[in-house]
Amino acid sequence: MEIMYLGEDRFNADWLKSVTENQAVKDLKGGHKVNQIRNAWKQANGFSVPKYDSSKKPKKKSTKID
Amino acid sequence: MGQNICSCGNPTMPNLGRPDCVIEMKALAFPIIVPRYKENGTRNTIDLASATLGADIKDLIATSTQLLSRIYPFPRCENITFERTETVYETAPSTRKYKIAGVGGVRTFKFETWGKDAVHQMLRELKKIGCSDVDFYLTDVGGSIWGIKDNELDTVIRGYEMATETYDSYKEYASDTTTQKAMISWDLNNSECEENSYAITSEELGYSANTLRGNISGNQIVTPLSSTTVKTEVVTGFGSAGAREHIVGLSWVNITVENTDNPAGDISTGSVENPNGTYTITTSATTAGENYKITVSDATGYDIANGTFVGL
Repeated sequence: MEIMYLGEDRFNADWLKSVTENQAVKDLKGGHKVNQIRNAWKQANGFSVPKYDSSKKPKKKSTKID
Repeated sequence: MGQNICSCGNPTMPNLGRPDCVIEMKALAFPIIVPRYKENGTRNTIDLASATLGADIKDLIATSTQLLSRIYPFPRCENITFERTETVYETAPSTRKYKIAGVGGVRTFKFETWGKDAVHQMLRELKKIGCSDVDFYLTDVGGSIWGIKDNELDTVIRGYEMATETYDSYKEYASDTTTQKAMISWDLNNSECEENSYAITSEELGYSANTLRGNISGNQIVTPLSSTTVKTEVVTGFGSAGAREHIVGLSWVNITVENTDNPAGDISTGSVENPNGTYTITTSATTAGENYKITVSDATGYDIANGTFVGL
């Protein structure tokens, strides 16, 4: 069984590959956030997902032009 | 085959009178198997002094009762016979005969289950009998349960002792003129005292013993979906080769999930049935690589084996 990690959540990647995204959301929403499930499903099925560990870049300070 | 009671120092003679009203054993309906000994090694008996005798006996079928303390009713049986082998004598040169004590007079209990009660899945269950010592109660068509009171003054009744090594069951296939049957037989233990048989009547039970039904065996097909969700498909052994028969309508209160490597109680937090017979259970986070079991209990009419999975 292929296990997949998203943060602290772990998913059965084999199972995620065998179901539709909506089915995964339906079955897993009791234990995970819906966005997390969608990302897990996408990652398991080879779609690109946003990186969770990338730190947010600070906003640029607006430079006031006098 | 009970032995004669010969105590010359304290002779006994039979008083063969009887009251007007006695309880006659009617034609047999089906046997009820009971393990001879409980988990703690004591004999399985039924407490006749209980104020809730009928309910007690029904509870003995439920899976809330430990495996070796339960009773296991057969379905309704056909062609029941209780044949007895000939008494064995030795004939002296004078032609006088002498009975050989302890030889012959062995009762063989034979019966059949027919049609749906003889399908292969039933045969598979029947093959589970005979590994350990068991006793059996008998029910008659009048709705009474028959067993043995070792002493007239006892307040408990036990099952008849099966000579377990004689137990046999096999299938008889349907033909152009006959339906399928399961053929079952065993011997009564040679030392059993049939004369100590007593009935628990349907009046005492509050129902007919013929209404007692055995549980259906169930199994689980478990798939862990994530660290907090696990899916179990709860099925019986019936159905076709490709389409299993599902056990539907279970609720979360029937289901527990426990870590068997580091037991810390039930970690399930809810369950949803979808589709029928498939239960998605949510849990607190499992530990990757550790072993877990899913127990489905108190599913009336079913005895469901535990499911296992490895935490993600």
